[in-house]
Amino acid sequence: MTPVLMPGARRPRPAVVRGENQSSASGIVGPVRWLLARRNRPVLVGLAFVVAGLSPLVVGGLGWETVSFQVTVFAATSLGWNLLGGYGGQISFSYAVYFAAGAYGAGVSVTSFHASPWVGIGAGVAIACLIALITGLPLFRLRTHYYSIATLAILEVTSLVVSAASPLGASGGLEIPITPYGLGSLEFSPLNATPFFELGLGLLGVTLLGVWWILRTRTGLYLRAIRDDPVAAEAFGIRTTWWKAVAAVVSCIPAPVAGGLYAMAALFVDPNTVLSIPFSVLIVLVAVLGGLGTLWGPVVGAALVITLQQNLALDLPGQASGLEPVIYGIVIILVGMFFSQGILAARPIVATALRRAGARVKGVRPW
Amino acid sequence: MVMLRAQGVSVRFGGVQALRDVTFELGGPGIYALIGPNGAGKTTLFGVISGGVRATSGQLWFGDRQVLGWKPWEAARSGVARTFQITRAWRSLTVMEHVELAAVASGESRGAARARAAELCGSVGLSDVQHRLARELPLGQQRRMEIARALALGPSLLLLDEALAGLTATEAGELVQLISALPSRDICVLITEHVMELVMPIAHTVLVLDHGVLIAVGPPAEVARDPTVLAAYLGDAHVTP
Ligand SMILES: Nc1ncnc2c1ncn2[C@@H]1O[C@H](COP(=O)(O)OP(=O)(O)OP(=O)(O)O)[C@@H](O)[C@H]1O
Ligand SMILES: [Mg+2]
Repeated sequence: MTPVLMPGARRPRPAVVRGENQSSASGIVGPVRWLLARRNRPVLVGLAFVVAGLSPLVVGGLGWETVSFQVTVFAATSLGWNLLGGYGGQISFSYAVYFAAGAYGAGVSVTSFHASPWVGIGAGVAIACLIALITGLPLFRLRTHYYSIATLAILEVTSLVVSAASPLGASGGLEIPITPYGLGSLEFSPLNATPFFELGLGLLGVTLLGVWWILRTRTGLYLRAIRDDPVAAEAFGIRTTWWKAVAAVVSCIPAPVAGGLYAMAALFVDPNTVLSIPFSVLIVLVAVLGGLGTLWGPVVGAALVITLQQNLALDLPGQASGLEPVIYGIVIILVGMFFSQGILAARPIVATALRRAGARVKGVRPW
Repeated sequence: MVMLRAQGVSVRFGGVQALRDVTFELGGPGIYALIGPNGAGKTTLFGVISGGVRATSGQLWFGDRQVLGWKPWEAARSGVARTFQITRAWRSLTVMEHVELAAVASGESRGAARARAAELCGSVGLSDVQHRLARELPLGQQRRMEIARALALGPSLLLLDEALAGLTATEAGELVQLISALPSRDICVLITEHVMELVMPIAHTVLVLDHGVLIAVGPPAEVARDPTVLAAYLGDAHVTP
């Protein structure tokens, strides 16, 4: 006799037998389930990166690669931001400054020193870390919202200074001359965006790994405690100012590297773009929409925001092109309304929905 | 050796004199009860001892160090741990992570800290809920978490701010038992409490604060008979029949 199932009751799951004597359907289910298990997450992520890295062979196309490159650049920058902002609770608007440090570093090393842009990116990282440290130590004594305002001021000051600096191209921007193609010169055929996409993907992978590792060390634990209740954190021996400064310095590192790649891909960098408030807000927005203080939030946020922004710019027909900011704004408001904790916070809801819908797919858990 | 010595400590918050010329010493491991009515200055005194509250004048020695005005993190690292009258749990941390954090902050490696945290969760009876978010637990369990977290620092002085408030009689009884075992681990406990009956049986010395003034210090039986103490608690009208 077949058991009568009450509505909503769990269907008894057929035991999945490991081994050769499985039907072809469950032959797929086995490995899929293994891959989706929490402890095998690194394998899944590694696979995803390999697939993404090979994707230009299949999806190809200059437009697609350019957009994907931008996604990786913003995702990496925002991943860093999220370490201090999402986990440490210190909302900073000066990551555009760190980004610009790498962008201008790369540009200037080519224009003024005829050196490899990598040298400039290295210098950009050093400068960004220095700015993060010397602004962080005094600023972290401020209450959080004053800190945010102070970082906006840093952005404005940097923008003013750069706009007046002729070796940096002043307000007109810095054009980077064409040099022989290669990985060392970070210049490639303008018809082929694959190298930059692969470099961006590499940066994203390294950044993800770095953030994941830091979150596992005591630094991650301290940062969460500082964000949740700094007074209690101090009462248990944590020097909050010091740890926030550590987080600020470490978390700024991806930004200048991303900025360097970004500048070399465009062969141009100007203060009205990278040192603008919209640009610095975008870095924050990506993390907030994706999910503050979640490892994958910035990646999801960047994929959504950048793809949307870029595709709107490319695809809207002539007359409708003025609507781009409107549509972009509406989507962001909708995400804010329905996923107030970021898209990733909706994971349990989505998981439940998928599980219900796919109960027939023999107990494969989507998460 | 004297563990803690306060000499003429005064604290002012604007127009409020929260502590006035407070002088006392805690000899060594043992249980000291700090009692006094609402607003007497108990929490303020804890703030001065553990850093964070600025004294307007006075001196404070911890061992042979002059420590008045030290930072909370310095106090924590030197062996002063505390709990909070209004519990302060970190929103996104589990019970275990709270305890582990304190152990790591005291200098233990991550692995050793985890082992010690598990052990401490067990000793305060929180093993079953150690992987839950501390904020989601009932008050009684949050108070025990706070004690485990404080113990994880490996303190020589433990400040318990109304650790028994809001607990059921059974919970309070269990906690009193736990606390009374601490001096045998070389820990000096200073505990504040409104209800004298709860701490009198375990305290070996009672300090009484009233309106920022230390009005009595001594063994529980003596203090309980002290007319000034009775007056502070019952109001002046009851002193003169
Ligand atoms: N940060 C502060 N700013 C201003 N006044 C304060 C502050 N903290 C405490 N006070 C005042 O100092 C006095 C002592 O307060 P305290 O909290 O130390 O008392 P308490 O003995 O712990 O009282 P309770 O039993 O209610 O916890 C009170 O009058 C209180 O209002
Ligand atoms: Mg109090």
